[in-house]
Amino acid sequence: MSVWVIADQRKGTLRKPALETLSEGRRLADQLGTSMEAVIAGHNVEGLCNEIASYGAEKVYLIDHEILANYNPPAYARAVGDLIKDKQPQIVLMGGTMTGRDLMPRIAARVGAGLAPDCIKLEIVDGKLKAIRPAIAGKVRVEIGYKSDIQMAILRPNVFERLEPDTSKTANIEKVPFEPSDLDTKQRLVEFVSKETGRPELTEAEIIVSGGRGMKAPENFALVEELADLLGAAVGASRAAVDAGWRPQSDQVGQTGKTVSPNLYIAVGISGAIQHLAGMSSSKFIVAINKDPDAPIFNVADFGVVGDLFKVVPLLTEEIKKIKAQEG
Amino acid sequence: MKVVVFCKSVPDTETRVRLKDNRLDKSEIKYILNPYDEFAVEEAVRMKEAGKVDEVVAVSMGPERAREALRSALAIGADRAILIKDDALDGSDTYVTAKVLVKALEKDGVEYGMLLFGQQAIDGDTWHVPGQVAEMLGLPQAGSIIKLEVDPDAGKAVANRLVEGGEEVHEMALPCVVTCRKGLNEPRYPSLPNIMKAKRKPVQDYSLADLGLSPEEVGRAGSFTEVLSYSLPPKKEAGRKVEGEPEEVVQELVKFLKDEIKVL
Amino acid sequence: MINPQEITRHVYWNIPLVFKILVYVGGLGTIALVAWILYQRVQIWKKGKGEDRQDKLKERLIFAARNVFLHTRILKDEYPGIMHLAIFWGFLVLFIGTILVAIEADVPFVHFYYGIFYLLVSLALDIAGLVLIIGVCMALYRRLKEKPDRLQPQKPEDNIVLYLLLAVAVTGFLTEAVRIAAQGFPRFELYSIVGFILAIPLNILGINGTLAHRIFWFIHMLCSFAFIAYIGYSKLLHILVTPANIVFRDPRPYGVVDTIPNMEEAESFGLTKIEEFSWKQLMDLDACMRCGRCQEACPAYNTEKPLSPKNLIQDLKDHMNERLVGGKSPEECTPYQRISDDVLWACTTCGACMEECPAYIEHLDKIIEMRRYLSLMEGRIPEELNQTFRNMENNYNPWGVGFANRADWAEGLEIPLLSEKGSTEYLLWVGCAGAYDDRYKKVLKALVEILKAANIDFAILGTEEKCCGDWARRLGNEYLFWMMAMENVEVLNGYGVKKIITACPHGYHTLKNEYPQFGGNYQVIHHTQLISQLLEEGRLTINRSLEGVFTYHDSCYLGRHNGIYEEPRKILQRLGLNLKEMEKSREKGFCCGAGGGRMWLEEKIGTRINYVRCDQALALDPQGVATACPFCLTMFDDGLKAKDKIEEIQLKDIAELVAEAIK
Repeated sequence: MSVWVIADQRKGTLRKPALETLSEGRRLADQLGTSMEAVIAGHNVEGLCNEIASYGAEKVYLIDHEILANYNPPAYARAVGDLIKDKQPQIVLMGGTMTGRDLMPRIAARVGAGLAPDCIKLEIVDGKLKAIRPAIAGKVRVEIGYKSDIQMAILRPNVFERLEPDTSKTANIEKVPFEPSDLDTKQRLVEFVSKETGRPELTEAEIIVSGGRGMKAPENFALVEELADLLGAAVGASRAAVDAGWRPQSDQVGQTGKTVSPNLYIAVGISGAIQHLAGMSSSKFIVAINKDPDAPIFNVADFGVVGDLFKVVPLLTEEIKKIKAQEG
Repeated sequence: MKVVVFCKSVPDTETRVRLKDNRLDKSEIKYILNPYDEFAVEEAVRMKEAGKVDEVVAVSMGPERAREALRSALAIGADRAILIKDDALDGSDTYVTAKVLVKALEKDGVEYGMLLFGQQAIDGDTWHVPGQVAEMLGLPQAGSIIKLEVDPDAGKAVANRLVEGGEEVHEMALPCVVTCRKGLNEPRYPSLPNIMKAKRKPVQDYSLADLGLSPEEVGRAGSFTEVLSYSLPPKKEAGRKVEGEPEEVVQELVKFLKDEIKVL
Repeated sequence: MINPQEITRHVYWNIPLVFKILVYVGGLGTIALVAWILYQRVQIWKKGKGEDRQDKLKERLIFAARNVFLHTRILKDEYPGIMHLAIFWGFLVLFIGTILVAIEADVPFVHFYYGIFYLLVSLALDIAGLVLIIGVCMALYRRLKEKPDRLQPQKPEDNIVLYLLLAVAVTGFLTEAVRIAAQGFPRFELYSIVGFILAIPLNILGINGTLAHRIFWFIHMLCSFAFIAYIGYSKLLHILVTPANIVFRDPRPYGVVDTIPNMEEAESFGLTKIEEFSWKQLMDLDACMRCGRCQEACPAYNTEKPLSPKNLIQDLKDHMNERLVGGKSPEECTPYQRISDDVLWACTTCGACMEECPAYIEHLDKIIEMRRYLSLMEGRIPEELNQTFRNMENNYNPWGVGFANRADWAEGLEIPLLSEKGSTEYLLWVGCAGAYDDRYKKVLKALVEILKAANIDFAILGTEEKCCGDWARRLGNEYLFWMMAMENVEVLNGYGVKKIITACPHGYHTLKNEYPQFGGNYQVIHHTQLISQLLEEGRLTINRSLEGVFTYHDSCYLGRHNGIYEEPRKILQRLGLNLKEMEKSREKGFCCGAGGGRMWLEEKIGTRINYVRCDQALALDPQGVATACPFCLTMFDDGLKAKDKIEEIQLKDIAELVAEAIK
């Protein structure tokens, strides 16, 4: 009756949400007085097992096969799901990466277990898992209880605290045999198109940095671009900036431009007329930098900075650079 | 090739959520076809217009209002619809939902080449049902796609999943499951003749009994998870507005970004 | 004393019988030809749908007569107005003279063409001929020398009709002159003053015989018949069609469009083929003279958009002819082959074209009919509209802010909800901008202060109010408009609302002029009308006078569409402001660029209309610009920001200025 974490790796590297999930798994296991174990599926990923152990996994199930080299939903679900059915852990967790969100429902269906998505808090109540998650775009919080013996949950990234790894630990590895089935060969990841370098699309971006009339001149958009690149963000613009010819039409956010709903929207020198708000007010968080304290953008901003963007933005960029440098 | 699109009736994105007796207060809610499902319907209809698909079936499980969501799908261009409606289904979790949808496909007998879903429903936000259906039916699956190419004759599909840092290109044998998101297409604004035509397109109603399921197998009784309570999130404070020396305000802003919303 | 009977001229003097017969053959023949062609045009118009335009016939006739004989509208543009007036009256008097002569010659036992009467008629006809020649020369000067843009492209017929008129008039004078010379200059012929004077040099040149007279007479007749015959084949047809077109004009405010009857059962929507226009809409196409006044006034044309109202009407006319005359099938050719989507979406429905048109052609309903086709039949809408329409469907406002938030603006202002109050004297129709746009919320708050200061009994609908639907209707989405209108009327009638104050000209126009189509009959008043009235009645006191040079921008839906020009101006003057008029104001006001749903469309082609309008305001170097419409306000706000003038110039709604002054 242990706590399991499915460790998400890509190209031989553990994903950050996996580390957070391992940390949370450890905490729950301690609370239940049971062991925390991890599963990793992939090809030539044995080298990751020690890192997994360093986050407190007492045992690592290693499923290594060529066909698991890349993400393959049916194969991954069968490999991990059948192991769960066999070993019957009480709790199974995975980080909410695009793989986690895609894979866990399959596993839950295979195992026949309850699953909670996008959890921001996990508790043990009467020896059972209770999951807390937002729904309806964060407008409501839902507490989820389980009736199944196996309780599964997907953890929202960047929410759970990551433990300091204990690198002295080495993994107790149990290799699990895997035989591909017909179904596994019906799907194949043929290519990974990396977008690490270029900026993301406006409508797909998690973070957007937008500039408006307050930018004053096209060359000043370099400030916005630098900040955006640092955050892996897309660059947007208000209609005024597009009209002035400082940015292409395709960058325009607003009623007659693109409608976006990123996790974070940073509005730089944008006053926030309703035509602009209509295109971005559903963003989860909004930061506004504007020198006019009465600008309507502050009515929707979660964090507003009243000040000169030409001072604030370079300082902000510097600070973020420092943080990134610390993280290595 | 025939395809099935799954549709959900959801509260509009701008809905003001209120609670009443620990349940969602549904009195002031405007329901719409889940916007992600619209991408799926649009994609299916485009495949039909391209001559790759000859029938688009829209399926929904839900209360009577789900019929409106199906009408929207029919107006975009789906050919017929199936509505699974039964009071006993109330409280079903995603596992049960997937199970019921699979039963409905069996009952209808449609020989589908592809099942299309929205990546998520904007109310439940679980992203669960497509994967659960795919697993129950033993089908390949590509979630959160922004590009889809289907070759019914060769029996395969190539889909681009949008993931962190890039796109995964998956090649799948048909039939398969895909989930659609923004970026895949721009759903059309249905023309009025099509809206009117949609009112005359057939909608098949199924009850639990029609699907050979008993009330114990579904709803709260048959689910693995249950909603214990709803609560409103701590009220978003009226946005903070800071003024002062740039160095100081930037420090505060960084703290907000790093510690409160955790984007750094 | 000469016998008055001798003061005359014998009609057909010096004309052999053969020629005389030719006159009857030619005259009756050409008149029959014109009648035949007119008949055929009528048959073509009749292929359009039925429409009742025969009500209040007396008013219609009086209105048309005033326009035809007094040139009330044509004269609004001076040079071409005077030019046309000269040609018209010259031609008309000569025409009457010709009829008199014909009666004298051909009606047995009738004899009146002598004595004083003869002298006066001779004088009148000579003056008329001279006036006609002056008018034609003015027209030729314009077409050959000035070549204004609005007349381009010119067609050969444009000059042919002028040359024909000139030839008729000149040969008429020559004939008269030679006759006077040949008759030995009778003194009384001095009343035929032009002919008399012209006869002197002709006499010196020896052109004074009966042969010369016959030759001139013959040419004059030839030209006259050519002219009559040409009526049916040229723009001269307007002599007959345009007055009729004015008689049958739509007397309602511009921009009132009718709904689609039986929408839920209809098979097609908007203009799919030309016969779906009404007979009057087809007649409009033949009434157009290509004078180009509409084009010159059009804000879209003036900012390099592909729309010219003149070309639109001409393209439709050409299409009508290829279909209904040329016999092509609707499948072979559609109106949309000649008229691109960009043309149709460029219209701001400002009504400037209709205000200018001397033939009272109705451009707007045609554009809306075609937009209906694009929106409803084809779903071929500019991509940004997709979201706007959905927003209106799902949240009953174009921005898509949650409908449950519609009354948030009023929080803490202690405004009664009609649902709580039960009944009220005035309902305050807040409108989408008042409810959701932070900028316009301030205007609503100012208006509420004013209403409270004047002790007006009012209430709002709160979340029961929905978008009036104006945008949907102007953008051709009649179905969406219909849903909005039905739902609003149901709520309003449910409360028994009688009087409505609107803070938006679009709501004003729609509720007042168009909701009656759905059973909603209310007394609607715009906030500037109410404020003006309250000031007049002394129910509001100005406690501090405002200063500075202000200009007022006319909202098209307030001004041209509904004739409200004075009230806003009176208010501003009462506040103590120095009101200066822009180059284009009142009836000639230049649109801000937001109307007709343009607010929700990206302006991708040409110069921004609001920039041009801002320049017109800035030319006055004002301290402030006053508006009375939320969308004009937005357009000015954007424009003044783009021109970096927003900090220098106060941009205010009239209600805000009044609220300031009564504090």
